[in-house]
Amino acid sequence: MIQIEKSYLDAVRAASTPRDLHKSLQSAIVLELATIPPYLTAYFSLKPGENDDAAALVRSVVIEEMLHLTIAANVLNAVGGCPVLDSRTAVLDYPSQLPMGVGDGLVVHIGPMSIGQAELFMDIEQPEDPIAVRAGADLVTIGDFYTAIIDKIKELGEPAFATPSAPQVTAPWFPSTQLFAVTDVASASRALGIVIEQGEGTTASPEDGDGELAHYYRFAEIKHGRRLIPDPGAEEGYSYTGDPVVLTPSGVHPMITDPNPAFYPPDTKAGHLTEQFATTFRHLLVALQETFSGHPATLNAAMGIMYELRLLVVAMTGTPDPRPEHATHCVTPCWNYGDLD
Amino acid sequence: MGDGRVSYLDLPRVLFDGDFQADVSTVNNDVRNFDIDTFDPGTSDGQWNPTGSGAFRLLNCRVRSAQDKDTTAAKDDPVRAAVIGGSADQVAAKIVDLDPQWQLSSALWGLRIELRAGENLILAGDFEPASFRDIWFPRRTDGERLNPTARFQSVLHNIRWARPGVSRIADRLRAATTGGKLSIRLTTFAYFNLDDNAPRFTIGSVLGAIGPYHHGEPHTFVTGRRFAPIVNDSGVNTAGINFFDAVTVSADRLVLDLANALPILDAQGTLVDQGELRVGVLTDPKTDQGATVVEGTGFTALGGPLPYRSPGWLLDTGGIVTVPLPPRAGTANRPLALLRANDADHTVVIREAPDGWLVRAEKHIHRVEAGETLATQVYVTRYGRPEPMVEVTPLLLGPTPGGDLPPTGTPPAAFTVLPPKITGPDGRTTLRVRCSDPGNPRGYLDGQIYQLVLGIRGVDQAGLRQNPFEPFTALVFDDYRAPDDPTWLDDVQPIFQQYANLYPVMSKRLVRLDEYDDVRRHRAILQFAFSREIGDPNAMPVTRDLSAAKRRMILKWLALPDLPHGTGHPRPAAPVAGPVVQVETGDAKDSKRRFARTYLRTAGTIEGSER
Repeated sequence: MIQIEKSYLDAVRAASTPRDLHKSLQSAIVLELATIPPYLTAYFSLKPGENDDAAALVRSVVIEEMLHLTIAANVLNAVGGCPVLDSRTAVLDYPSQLPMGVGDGLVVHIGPMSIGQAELFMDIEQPEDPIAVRAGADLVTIGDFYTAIIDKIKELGEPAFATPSAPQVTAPWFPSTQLFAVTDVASASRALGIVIEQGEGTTASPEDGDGELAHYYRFAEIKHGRRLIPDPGAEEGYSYTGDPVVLTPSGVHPMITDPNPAFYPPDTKAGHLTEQFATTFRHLLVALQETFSGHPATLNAAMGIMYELRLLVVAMTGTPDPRPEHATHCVTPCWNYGDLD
Repeated sequence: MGDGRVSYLDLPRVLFDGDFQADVSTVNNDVRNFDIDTFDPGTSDGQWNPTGSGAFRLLNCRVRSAQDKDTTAAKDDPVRAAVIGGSADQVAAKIVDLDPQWQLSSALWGLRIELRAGENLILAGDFEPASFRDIWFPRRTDGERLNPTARFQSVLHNIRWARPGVSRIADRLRAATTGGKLSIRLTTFAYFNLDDNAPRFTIGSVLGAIGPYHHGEPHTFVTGRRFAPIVNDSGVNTAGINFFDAVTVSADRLVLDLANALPILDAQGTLVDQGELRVGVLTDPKTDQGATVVEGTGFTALGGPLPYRSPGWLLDTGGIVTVPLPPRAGTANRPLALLRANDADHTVVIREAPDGWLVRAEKHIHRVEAGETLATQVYVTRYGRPEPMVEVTPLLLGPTPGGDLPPTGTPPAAFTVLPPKITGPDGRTTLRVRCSDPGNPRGYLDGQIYQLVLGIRGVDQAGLRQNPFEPFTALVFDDYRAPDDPTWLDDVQPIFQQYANLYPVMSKRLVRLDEYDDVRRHRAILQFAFSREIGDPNAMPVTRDLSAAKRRMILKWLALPDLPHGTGHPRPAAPVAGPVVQVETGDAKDSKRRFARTYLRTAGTIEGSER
């Protein structure tokens, strides 16, 4: 589970009105959104038919991050706030530190799937227990943060839900057990509880309530090349001694780490694709903005755009880097806040 | 008196230009690739864009000019700084053919067009899906091939307007147009597909024109004065100028759309120099293309020489030219022509069809379910005026031989044309065709392609000078009874395998449509895409070539909790027999031109004449 600066927790605890929670929930939205580009790039870098186990692991985390973003935005709308997604302030300029002081200044890079990238993702998703060492007094987990929001919502009570700002986003992309309308203290607590469990696992097990591994352990399986299975002989009761999880380098598209639009001049095919990708990413943000601003059905369009992004990456993986010294690499997506046209 | 049906050629009019991308997929250009039993994945190596996604985008498009009757009105109007974009919250529009056996009317689906100047919306609307018409494969005078050009005409609907006062042109357009629509024309040229690593790969140039829509106008063409070249028996346009249209406005002006008429050399719209060209009205209606005439006696010139040779002319004007109509010019019942100046006389380069006839169907490309009756409006005009009391005669094109390729037009009994009523005072009638189950005559390919051309009783068919690349074409789907309990192996996989073969980027890289587990994993997005209505840019199949019944079956299966796998009993193979048609080989990148040549060689002949 993601570790953040304690000041964000303090801000939640200091809240005295629902409005005081808006900024905190917006920060959570930006943080959940910020994990999607590195995870999706890693997923897109894996060639279909090869490295399928690793791809399925990364994909499952990305989908849950999208769910978490949706839940955070639902809660924000439910308590009268307005999620902001289509804004420069909602998008990072990678490589970048994550918002909320994640990982004590941990810098996140965009790049192809690799053992190193799996380790970076594990750093992002550090669990509270049982394996991680708490880094210091000023760091708490995002689980602590969400727990504090639940506590505060309970404290503020039902009046906090008196003036929702936009309709809730629900079906059909996630099971109704995971995504449902947040309309009161009970549903808000249940929704945020799902975010905590999926990211962190329970304190007793690396699995979440649905029997799936918390994010950290899914990336760890890629790093160790083995499934995490119960192991009575191991100190923690689990070990990476299950079936192999293969990450074959030849099954990874030769993307670069830390791509930058400047690498891909506008008069090249690489430049066209980079521009197109930025525009399409912007379209995704616009669609998400509408989704959470009163038009929940626009989530359908957003899902379509996600697939369009993937198609553009397919074109990129077939296009060599225009810089002669990097000609063995392919064009790599830059997740910058693009122009609309 | 004007024609009253002038569409985007009326004022106010906004012109824009820029690039378009058509990321068409090409494995489906060869109908034989639809056969999943013989499909060779290696075949796509010979195709120019096997990984095409079908996306269509307007890129870098900007307003070039805006014009109104009051010439000062557009000055300083923010529309002049507007950029044209698609919808910001949607996936890209799609461009697809009707069928591998009809590739000369590609259609746009799910295109939204937005004009914005800074933060100001000027106008936005949905482009009603339309197929291009008047595709042309021009050559330079030295015979060298030039890139094909074509035109899409349609209407924008679901329009959002600028707040009143933001743009005078937008306000005037809003006041002038009817039915909540606007008329729009996109002319495409200089499409580049030669080198898949070049920056402009799959990109071409586009000229747009937006004007008022008037009630009663067809959406997809202009019922004006249609200039028609003589096309010889081999299908070659002998004029060197393509079909184009003109309208008279306010009785004193003639407006011509030359954007898709003249051969274009490059992406900047440089036109081939064809000498000094003028518009005129012919004194003797019998004076035909190629004749030499003398000004004054042989023809009356309308306006001066066309300035088409000036640098930047095409982009600056959108190819739209206005010439004055002097009083008593005699254009009402005599043919208009373009004439080339010689030393002492002029040569008629292209003229209106004999007697000024025009007969065209509003919608000429159809997808029809077995058991449905298709219907569309047919417009008949002479010299630009509606022609009442005319009997339109639909002439079915006979079956094409099968052989190496599946036959088309068979069985004729599944495509029953109902004789249209004579045209009303508005020159219109309705064409209806009752479509029944063709019975899978193409074997590995669903449904059947039927084509017809429109005639007029008592008028020589050749004299109508219709575009040979614009037959009325329908894809009639096979009747299909969905099983009560569809399974993967028995029902879904055979359909998905075909898409996986034909669209490798969508169906192997995005969702592996031929693999049960991957389909299961992506069930939600497939349910979403297969349940979209055909005009939605997310709709699957992207090619929009699956019958409603088969789509319902797929959705039914996708909704079953356990996605039954089934047993996979063998499907009956459909034999295809007949004389062998030689498939034309050659440059695969020139696939449209190649298709056109093969079509002209093998097209069915008109079945009998009039009934």
